[in-house]
Amino acid sequence: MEDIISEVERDYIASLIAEGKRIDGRGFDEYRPIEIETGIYQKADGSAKVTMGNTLVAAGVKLIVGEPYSDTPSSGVLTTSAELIPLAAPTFEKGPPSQEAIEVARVIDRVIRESGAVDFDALCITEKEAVWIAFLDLHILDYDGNLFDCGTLAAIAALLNTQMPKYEDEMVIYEEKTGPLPVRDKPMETTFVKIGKGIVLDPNLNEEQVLDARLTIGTNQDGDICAMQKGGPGTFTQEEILELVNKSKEKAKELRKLL
Amino acid sequence: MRQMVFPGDEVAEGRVRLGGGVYRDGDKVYSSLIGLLDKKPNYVRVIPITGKYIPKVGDYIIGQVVEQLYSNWDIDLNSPYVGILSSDDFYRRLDPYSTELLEVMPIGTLVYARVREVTPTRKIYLTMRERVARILRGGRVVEITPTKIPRVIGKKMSMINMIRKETGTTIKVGQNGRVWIKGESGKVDIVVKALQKIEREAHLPGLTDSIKDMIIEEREKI
Amino acid sequence: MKVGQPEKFIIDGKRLDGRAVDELRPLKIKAGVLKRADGSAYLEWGGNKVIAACYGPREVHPKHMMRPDRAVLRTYYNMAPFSVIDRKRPGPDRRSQEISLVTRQALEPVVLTNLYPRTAIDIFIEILQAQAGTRCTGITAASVALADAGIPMKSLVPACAAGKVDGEIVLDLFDIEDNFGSADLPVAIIPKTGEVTLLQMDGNLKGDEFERAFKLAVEGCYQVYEKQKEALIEKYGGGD
Repeated sequence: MEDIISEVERDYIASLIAEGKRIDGRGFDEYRPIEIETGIYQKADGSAKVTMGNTLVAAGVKLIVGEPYSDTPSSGVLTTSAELIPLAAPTFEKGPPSQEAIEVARVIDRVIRESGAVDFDALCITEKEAVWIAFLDLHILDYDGNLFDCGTLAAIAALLNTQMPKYEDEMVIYEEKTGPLPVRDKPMETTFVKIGKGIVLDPNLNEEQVLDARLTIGTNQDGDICAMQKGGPGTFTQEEILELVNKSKEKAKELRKLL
Repeated sequence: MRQMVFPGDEVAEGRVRLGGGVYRDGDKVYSSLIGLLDKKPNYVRVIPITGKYIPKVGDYIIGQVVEQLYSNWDIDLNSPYVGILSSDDFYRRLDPYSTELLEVMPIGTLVYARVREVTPTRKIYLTMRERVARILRGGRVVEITPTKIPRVIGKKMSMINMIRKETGTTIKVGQNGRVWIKGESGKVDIVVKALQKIEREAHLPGLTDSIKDMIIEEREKI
Repeated sequence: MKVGQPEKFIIDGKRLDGRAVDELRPLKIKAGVLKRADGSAYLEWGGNKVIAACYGPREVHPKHMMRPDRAVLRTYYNMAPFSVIDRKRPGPDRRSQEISLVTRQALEPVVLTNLYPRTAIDIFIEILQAQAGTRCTGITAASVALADAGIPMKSLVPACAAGKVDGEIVLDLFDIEDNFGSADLPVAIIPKTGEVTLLQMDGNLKGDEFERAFKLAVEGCYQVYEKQKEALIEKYGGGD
């Protein structure tokens, strides 16, 4: 996932940020324009398409019935995957998911799971035998940075859009719906990157390519912290981290309003 | 005794010249290695005691021919970087167009050569246009930790000359951790034992004397 | 509720393994345990048994990974099939891929890769026995292995986690606390500046709880750092 970026570009972006400016003219704490569409892929049980600036993520939910895990015999299961498919950027390659794709999927999965967004106990059909298994697949269609926030938004929008198929005589009838997937929370992720001494929200691709360090913070609708992930080759000071944790709650509220 | 320092240890402050194994952060200078602190009033460095051999201009090395391309030999240096020996740098004049270089030095040949140039991207050029450079035939090569080589040589070559004298062997020492020994087989074995002892006890004082005692003792067993 | 969840995690101020809330599990580090590797370290941290090996700087394979201006740092975290109760299928899964990535990023800020252009520095972390906190154990071990290999670096990097059980913030979770507790927060730092090189979190923490857990984990890192230094002093001598 390493696009070649010239030293000139790097210096330019960093010096802009040192002057308090961003390459696309945004404020440091400002998201790019966001648009959400839901229920657009009819074969899925729930779906959404989210654009964040030029980043485009499609999310689909498919439900099947299967056996529960032995340590959680009365809970449903959620499996989140992300694919950085080759059509989304010249540097994405075919083949098994890259470490970056795995990280995106796992960090989004983490905030959904840890916030208790999906009521897994309500997905139990027969204890120890049959539960609903939800596959949440994120397709990155256009990659212009910040897959964490855009992907989480798409994931939650798709989950909220999901209708449960009917289950009768050990058969799933996908054509008939029995009601919405039990979603109790709307967790959000907010991602900040540090470039030189400056820290900006919602990095675009150019900013991601020159970042020193990245911090993604996931919060639930009460403002509790449910997931975090630091990335990038650089570091954050402890003060910066505490400040970003506070800021992320406000920014997550803004995102939640869009749903 | 020099002080042992570790990565991140503060070793100096203010205006000093930096040698290897240290870095500056603000006004302070820190060690970047495990090693021995060499600190003078206006100069500081850390002498590594572990790590790979990284070629420096002027080093004498013992290398092995591993590949031949165009008019060069590629020489393994027991290092992350492969050395390049051009036919122009061979000790006698060769015409690369009419000479089969692999007949002059086939794959596997051992050479004693000098590092002529190190480019910023770490291309390593060697030369054998030196009085002492040569192809090493026969004998035996042992590898020890490259950072222990200065102890094998000793102050003003005291250690290596003592070993040569006491065993009657021919020895070439490469800065890249390789030592070549040629002589009577029993004597060569004694040198190998001595080198292993130096590697183990490099940090102890009075090493030259204890190695000499060991050699004399071993010699009597032959 | 999950199967096997204890009713209480803290009884009379003691945790289920007898520790105080701010106490690390016993930690032993040994530097230079492997012959073939350029540097290595073995850690026993509570019930974790982890070995880390460093090879390099060495030639880069495959060649397209080579960088003309610096060494590439590569990290491989792997769990042995017998390291956990349910046999782990060999090979990299999604979890170990993610841990390999964050481990590299935890160490990258300190390794002076610019000194060795066109080479690779490879770190292999093998989890032989797991009892929660293996990524922190791996990073702590890898950092000692790098130093042991003579790789120039700004500092050692210690790692340690804090978390929440029974509504209390505790240091260094062991497996029962990790499986059934309500938050886990692994952290790695550069001791002399306090900069943070690894930060992950899962679970649920209020803002003030996060701050307390974060500070506790950082304090834990400083304790781990002392053990790292002791291990190097034991092998190489020196110290006071």
